[in-house]
Amino acid sequence: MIPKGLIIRPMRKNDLPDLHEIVNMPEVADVLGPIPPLTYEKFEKWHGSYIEEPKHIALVAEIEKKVVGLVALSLEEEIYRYDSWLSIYVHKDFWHKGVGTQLMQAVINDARDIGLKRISLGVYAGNEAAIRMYKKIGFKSEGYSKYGIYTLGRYMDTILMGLLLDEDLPKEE
Amino acid sequence: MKVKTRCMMKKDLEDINKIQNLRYPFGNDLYIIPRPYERTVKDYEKQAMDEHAFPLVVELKGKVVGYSTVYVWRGRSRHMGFISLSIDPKHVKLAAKPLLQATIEVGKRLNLVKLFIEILDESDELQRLAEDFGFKSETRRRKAAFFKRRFVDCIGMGLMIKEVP
Repeated sequence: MIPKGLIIRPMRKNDLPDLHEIVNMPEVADVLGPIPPLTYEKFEKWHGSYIEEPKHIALVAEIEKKVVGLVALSLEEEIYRYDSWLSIYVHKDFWHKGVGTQLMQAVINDARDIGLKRISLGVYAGNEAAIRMYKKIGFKSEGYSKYGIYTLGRYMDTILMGLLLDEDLPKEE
Repeated sequence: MKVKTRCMMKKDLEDINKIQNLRYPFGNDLYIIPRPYERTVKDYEKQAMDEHAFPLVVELKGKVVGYSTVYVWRGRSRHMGFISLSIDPKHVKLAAKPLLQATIEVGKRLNLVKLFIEILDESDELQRLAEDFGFKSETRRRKAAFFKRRFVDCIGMGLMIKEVP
């Protein structure tokens, strides 16, 4: 059941403290790219780019004025300009409550609106809950990258997944 | 003919820009053309400041005919390097193997565990070259590139260069 009062909106600079707290939760940090603990300075550099650079779309989930999750799309360039890479994380107290799905659906709508044709993501092979959610939304597995990530004390495979938004040729080409 | 690989330098940028402006260069470092020289310079300067980027060139008779870069990933994938490369198709026969060999050596010197390259589905020759060096197909990102006015799949190939426990 989706939590009451859930709002999905563009990320703002004053969301950074809440988001910093989430990425340093051990359960969340284990499945993210950076190695914890992530200092506020490093985190601000990483997430500041989501707000300052036009090559990103970043949305947050807010419940009762507290930010509980983020989804970001990094737009690709040159011959990959219709593709984008997705990252997402949710506060551990709000896992399995539909927050991630709401964030994903909102960012997929935004991606369509700006003419993207595809969303890519990488997920470590042990993160079954996330893989289930991505599949439910329509992402398809596009192969395994052997030892793509080092987490929980060992090398693990990553799964690349992709969602095709629209297979029509772009109008401006 | 003497083939030489070495680190990229600022003086190479005119030759590199010419390769980037070829209609169909051999490689996976592909751009929308025309690509202004200033963009090539900007990218070079960005790479020069980036401790995760290791660019090389391949020379024939003192002229740069191709280039490559190993980008070391960060965080939990810091044991991996991503390869991009581009070669003037007229010189593939002589330059491609030495350049890819030198690029793999960079990965080994950096003590990486794995190298990864993503190649357009239609670039059979580059896929075969990668296979000759031991790269194995791992992923296929559907319609991830827009090239020659159509969407093309991208094949991800991995090469383990260090044993891990």
